[in-house]
Amino acid sequence: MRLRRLASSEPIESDPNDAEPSVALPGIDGKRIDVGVSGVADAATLGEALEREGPILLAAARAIVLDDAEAHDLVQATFEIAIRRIDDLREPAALRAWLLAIQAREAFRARRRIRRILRLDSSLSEIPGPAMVSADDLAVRDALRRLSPRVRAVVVLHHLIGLPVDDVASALGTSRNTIKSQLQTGLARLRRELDDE
Amino acid sequence: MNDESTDPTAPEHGHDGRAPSLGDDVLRRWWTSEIRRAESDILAGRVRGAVARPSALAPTVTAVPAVLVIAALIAAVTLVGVVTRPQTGPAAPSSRILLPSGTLVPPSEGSDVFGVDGIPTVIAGERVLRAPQLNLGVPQTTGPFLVGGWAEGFVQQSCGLALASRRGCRGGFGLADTPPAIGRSSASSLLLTASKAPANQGAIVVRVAVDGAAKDCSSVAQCPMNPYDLESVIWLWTPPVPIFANRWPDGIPSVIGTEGVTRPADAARNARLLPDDEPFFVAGWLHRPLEGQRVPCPLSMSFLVPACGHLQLTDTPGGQPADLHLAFPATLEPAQPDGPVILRVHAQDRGAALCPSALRIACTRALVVEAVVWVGDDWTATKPLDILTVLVLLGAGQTGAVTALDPQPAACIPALAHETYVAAPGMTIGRIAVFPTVLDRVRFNSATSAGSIAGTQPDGALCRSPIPPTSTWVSADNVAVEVREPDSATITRIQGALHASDASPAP
Repeated sequence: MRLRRLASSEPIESDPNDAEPSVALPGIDGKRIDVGVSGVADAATLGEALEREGPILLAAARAIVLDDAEAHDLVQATFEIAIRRIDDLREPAALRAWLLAIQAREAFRARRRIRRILRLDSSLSEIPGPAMVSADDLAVRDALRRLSPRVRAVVVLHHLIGLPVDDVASALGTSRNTIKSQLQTGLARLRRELDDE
Repeated sequence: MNDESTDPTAPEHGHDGRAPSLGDDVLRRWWTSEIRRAESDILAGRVRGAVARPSALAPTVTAVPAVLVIAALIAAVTLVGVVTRPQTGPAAPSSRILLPSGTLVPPSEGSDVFGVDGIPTVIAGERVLRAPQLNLGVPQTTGPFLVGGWAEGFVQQSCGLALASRRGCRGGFGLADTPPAIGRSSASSLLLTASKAPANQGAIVVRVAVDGAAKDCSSVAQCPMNPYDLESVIWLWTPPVPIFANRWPDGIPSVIGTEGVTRPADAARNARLLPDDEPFFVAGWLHRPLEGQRVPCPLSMSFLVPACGHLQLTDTPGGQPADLHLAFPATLEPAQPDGPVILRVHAQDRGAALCPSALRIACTRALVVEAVVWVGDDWTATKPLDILTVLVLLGAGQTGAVTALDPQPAACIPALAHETYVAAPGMTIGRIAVFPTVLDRVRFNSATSAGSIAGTQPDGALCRSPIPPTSTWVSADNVAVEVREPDSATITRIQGALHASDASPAP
């Protein structure tokens, strides 16, 4: 049983500069939890906290990159970065926003874009069968696909998930006014297309 | 879906404050379904992954001796009847057995048709599908149907983590379209979700149902979960037990099919050096540490983290654990873990990417168990007593009371049993030699004299290995126990304990 290697597989190396972090994270139920990756129980708690955010991250990634395999890659990369940089999380209550910001930045990193272009294994792309997709599903995907990736990300992060405009601006490395402008453009186009359906 | 809320189902008022349009409604419904889909994908991945899967399948792999399965099947035959195979046709299986089941279609004499590989294509008028058909497309059927193929037992593919795995990271009861090589599963196997499945390999026909959540999958490859559930076994043919001609000195097969079997030390080296997750075989003695020595899995996201597992692999029974980490899916754990075993494993699991960076290299070197291939036979069995029975008879109770006697380089290596253990310091007994047979033990006794044991030099020449002049050996059945400072009371007590097994009522 030989399993296929994925196009995005990379050698795994440890980073000697990675410090073992320790920080308090919010539980999904609002309860605060102490997390220290070096500790057995604390690491488990961190893992659980990250895992609970998995669905929202995966849904956002799918909506932004519109490619299932790429979306999985993106979420995995986000988790890896989050584990490495957990001590950068200033406000533990904002875990979700922090993860989404990491994911958004990662989505637009140059190497990831190049990897996506170079992906040759077509079986890894999302090719939904007819039974899997509703008419609305197709319409929304089609409408999202017509938006530029950055406008799409702004719509997803702010309009669908609810990140504040300032957070979206910070995540995408641009100004608040640019985000508002992109949001207005994107939403207007989405509504026009979906209203027409 | 508003400015600050993260609730996808919340009433929508866009950032521009305008009233929701039809498009907004479509978008809201779509986003809600996307969240549900992501939740379902992650959940499905976790369920089929190795970390959180319930161990309901554990007994199906190795725990139930084949003889018991066969006995149960034979009993079932008398209740239900046997499908009659036409006398003509190639590759006739030697026996075919029906299991009673709530969905079983009563067999009708003479109505069954068999394919060229001996597996029925029709049973009682019902068509038997094959794995390739089902892998290509999920049938849009309302009820269960029959599938035939070659059973592989439970198989776990590389990577036990949903997000790290994507497709190809599944586990389930494997159904191949061709007889699998021993210990190898077919890459095109159909994986079935099964709470109970036959442990033995061979030709099989099962009744399966399409998982309700998978009805929308256009193909198995596109499906986030195993789309098929195994409902019942309808027909089964078990091939003869394979004969392993090549063995290690401890009786464990050294070749599976045409592929060599490594020992723990080589497997540990493989784990460090192999560039990818190509599986290989490793043989050794599986050992479950005592309750207090087990370490819980520290990171729920990965079972690759070292010290997370609790089953150890040693080169000698009960010996020192090899310097490797076995990532043992709960679904594969044998019910009786202590004993000889051959595992199919791989290193460099992609799930290692999610380990904390400080542990990542160690995670890549974890040996992920894909399948338990072999679990001991007459070559490795000690009869009539095994070490656990001996310990109970001696009142030693737990296996922690003894450690294995690792072979040490010596000018004269004593001809002790392969399963020779050393009692903990402070106990009145020393070594416990559990021989494969009574005859082996008798030979040992006859070669033992006061002050020395027969042995061999590294070049094969015979020699005598000294033993403390104060010690003596007390023997019974296939066991010889060394008493360090013998006195008549101690010898009598040990003799009485060892012979207590004789007092058990005959079956």
